[in-house]
Amino acid sequence: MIKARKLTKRFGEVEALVNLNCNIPQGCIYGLVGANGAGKSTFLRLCNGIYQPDEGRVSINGGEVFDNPAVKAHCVFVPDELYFLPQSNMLRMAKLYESMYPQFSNERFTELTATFKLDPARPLNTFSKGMRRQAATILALSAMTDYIFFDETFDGLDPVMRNLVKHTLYDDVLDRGCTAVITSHSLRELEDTCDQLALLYRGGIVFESDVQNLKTSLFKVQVAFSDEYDKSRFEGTEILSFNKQGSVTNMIIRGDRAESKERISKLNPLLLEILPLTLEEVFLYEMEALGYSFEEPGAKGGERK
Amino acid sequence: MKPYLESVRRLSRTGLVLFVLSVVASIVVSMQYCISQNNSRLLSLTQMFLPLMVYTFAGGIVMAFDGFSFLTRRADSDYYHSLPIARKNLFWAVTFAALTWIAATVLASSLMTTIVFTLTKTIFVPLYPLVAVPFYIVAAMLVFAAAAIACSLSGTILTNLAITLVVLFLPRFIQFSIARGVISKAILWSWFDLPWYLNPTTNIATGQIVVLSRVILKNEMFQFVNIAYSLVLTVGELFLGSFFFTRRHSEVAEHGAKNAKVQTLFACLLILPVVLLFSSGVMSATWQNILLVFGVALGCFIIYQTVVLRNAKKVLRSLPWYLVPALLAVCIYFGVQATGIAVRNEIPERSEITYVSFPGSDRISDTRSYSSMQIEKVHFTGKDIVDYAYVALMDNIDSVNRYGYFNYDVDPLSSSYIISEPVTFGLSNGTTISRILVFTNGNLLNTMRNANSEYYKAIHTLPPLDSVRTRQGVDVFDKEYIKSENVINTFYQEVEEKALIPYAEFRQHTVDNNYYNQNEQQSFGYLTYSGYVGMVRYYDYFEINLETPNACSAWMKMKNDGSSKEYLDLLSQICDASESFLDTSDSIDVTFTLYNLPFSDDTKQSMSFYYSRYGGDTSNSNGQYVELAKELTKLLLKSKPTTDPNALCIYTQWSGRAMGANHEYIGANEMIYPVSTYSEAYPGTYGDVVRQRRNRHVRQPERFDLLL
Repeated sequence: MIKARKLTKRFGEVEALVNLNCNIPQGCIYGLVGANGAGKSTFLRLCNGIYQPDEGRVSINGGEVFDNPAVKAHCVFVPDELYFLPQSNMLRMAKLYESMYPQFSNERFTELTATFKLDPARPLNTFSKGMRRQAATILALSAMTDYIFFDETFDGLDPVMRNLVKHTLYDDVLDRGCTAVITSHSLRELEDTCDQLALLYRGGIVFESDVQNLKTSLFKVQVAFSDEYDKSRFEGTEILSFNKQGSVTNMIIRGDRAESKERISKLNPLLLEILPLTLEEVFLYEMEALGYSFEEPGAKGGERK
Repeated sequence: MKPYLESVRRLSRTGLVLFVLSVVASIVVSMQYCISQNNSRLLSLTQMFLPLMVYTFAGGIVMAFDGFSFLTRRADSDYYHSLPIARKNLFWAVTFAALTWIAATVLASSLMTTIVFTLTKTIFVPLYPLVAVPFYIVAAMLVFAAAAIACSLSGTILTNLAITLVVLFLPRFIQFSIARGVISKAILWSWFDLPWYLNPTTNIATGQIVVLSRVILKNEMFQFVNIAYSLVLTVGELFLGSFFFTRRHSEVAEHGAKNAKVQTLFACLLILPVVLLFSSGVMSATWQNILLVFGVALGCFIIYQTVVLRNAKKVLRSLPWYLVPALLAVCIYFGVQATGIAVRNEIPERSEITYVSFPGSDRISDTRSYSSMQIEKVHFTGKDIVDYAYVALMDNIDSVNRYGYFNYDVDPLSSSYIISEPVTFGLSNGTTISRILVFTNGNLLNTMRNANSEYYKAIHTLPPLDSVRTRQGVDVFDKEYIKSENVINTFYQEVEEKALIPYAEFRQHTVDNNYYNQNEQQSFGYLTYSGYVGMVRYYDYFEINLETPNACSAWMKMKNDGSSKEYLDLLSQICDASESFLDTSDSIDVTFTLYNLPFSDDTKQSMSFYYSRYGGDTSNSNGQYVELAKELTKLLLKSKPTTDPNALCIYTQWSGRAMGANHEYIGANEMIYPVSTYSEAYPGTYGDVVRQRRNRHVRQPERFDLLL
């Protein structure tokens, strides 16, 4: 299990993570969603012992990660910017992984390169961006660690390869009981990949939940009344977004769907329709509710209003 | 073990390239020397392994920069720090991998050099390869350690390089500046007299740079104690590098420093050498120089800060920090001045001095005299000599304090024989004080030293014959080497039998022996040879004069035996033609040295006559000597070769060529080297001609002839 308690990391005056708390259970695929600069990559780097926390702690299976090879031997990290030895090929990189990861499996490496149809003897600098990401994924999965961290995993992969990576990952989680932590901006990818999802905002996890709960906890309601009304009519309902046009109002509500429907029905609306939200919509509304302004594309973590 | 092997693999590209370059350079440089014509001298260790000196710096820095290259890119740094290996272990894995490549390169290069020297039968000091291997490995690792510290502190190649230079050279530059400043102020001190913490050769990496400007320290550098000290320093710096590496933040990658404050610290360190120029005494402290140096330093500070901080406000804010190195330099300057004066005036109590020793004034030379090496070991404990040295010390100090230099009055009893000698005073507490002293009466000093039996033995002992590697510029592998064997053996025998002092500098100087060309002082030539004792190379030359007549005779025989043909008839014809050369390229150079000429004061003296003319000489400056040259040549034609050094004889050396009346050249069309020739009683010419490419002159073999 990965545990983070009051995890704080600063870069000069910028606070990338502030008092972050979370628990990532064993044997799941954990997705991290957040805007640019929310602290996703920083969190992964702290989990892999790349950074030392300024405050708080992050532990894996009870052990501190930073400069602790015994713990780090259980983790492998595929960063957003990949590293390969200069002029190397996958075979050379496999040697590097083999020398560092005690559980590295050459059989697994051979099997995966065949599955992904990559030539392990071909120089990596002749690979496309997507192929390089596949290569990094293969190497990471061949390390046979208990925890695999992917930063923007699906970036640059074509749909076929995305599916292949996902299924390979599922297999690993199911067969070996390993834990995968994935960050991505592609919420749709995480929607059908992750068991659990966490939303990072201003260096902290705003909420974490299993994907199914997350998708059902937020829903859209379309309602119309014959008389004049405003938001106050829905007192007792947690409304994240309220948009009234004429007599018809679109609302995003957080809470129990059935309970909310029943409560609004009692108000005798002319129209009442409950619509499901995509994970992406859930993310956007949650962020809006937290005050993140999409009108400010330049805004970064720690600088938002 | 696996991370180590992985690091060896990772460094293999750079390691192999440097390995091949170093080995090839070692072979090429060695071959170049070994097959060249003039290779009859014992090379110093630096000269023998020159490519390894370059490798020390190139190898050390490149291996460190490559080994820790992942620290200069954020993605690479993050990757390596994510691996399940303790930072400390990662640092040492890279370090030992670099050591492996460096050791392999140094070993292979040294081996190849030694093989080339051995196969080509070129003389060298056998201990050198054994010393070179640890020396250059430690030196390269010392450079590596400095670069490793820099890589651990910084995150760009440019700043890595700057900090490497700071770590490697700045402490030594400060040390060098202080040492130089103190020496120039103390005056009576030399680089050899510095305490170990000011000695620039203790660090064998930077020491190699220092000896480029202070050649006198070249041999000092290879001492075991320096290698040991540098090894300790290397290990210390590597641990420091490991300390910084384990505490390094991965996010420093791609940044010059952790923050602007550290950046300013680097800037201060970088300009420190500039403002230290005064401390070393290189520049005099005039107002113009002060303004110039501090202005240049300020300019460097601003430029560096502007480049790295890229923010005018931050640069301006950092400006006051410039005063820190400036003030430090001022403090060091005054400290150096005060120390120099204190050192100069440091006089031990007479009662404290237990002995004096004389390290030898030739200790500054690349090669030493064998006698100096022996004398250096002698401790003189006699009261007279210690008193004399003590008085000389006080006189020297007094004079330097008054005049700024040693302004001595000549002792009339000394026959103007003034000598300057380094002297070491051994104190009762086991320490020593060394100074360079001027003795106004060298003869008195030598007389006092002669009372010491070890000294007496040292100045009478010639180098052991089995240690000699060259004689008369010919090395032991050359077939010509054997030619001087008889001379050297005879000389050794006579020196021993007559208990002579073969080293001229240790003989008593009298008014009489100023006349070097009289009686027994008549010089027939010089015996030169070199060799080695352990690591130390010596070079000696001994005058062959009538004090050793048998050696003179052997010398004359060697000279005359060396030539199988002579050209006295040609000499005569060219001499005649020189009266009026027909061609502008015609020339003649001839030296006649006459021995044992009877003088009216009953002395026998040697005299030389040199005659030289060339065709294009319109001034006819030597025209008046032509008749004398012709006469001497005629005399020579009637003479016969001799080996009797007490006979009235003539030694002739000549070269030249002239166009005859039939427009054919008198003399060979080819240059002829002087070949030692000796013949029996023939006045004519005969010779064994050695040809050279230049088509100019005939050179006559040197010969001794008995005047009939």
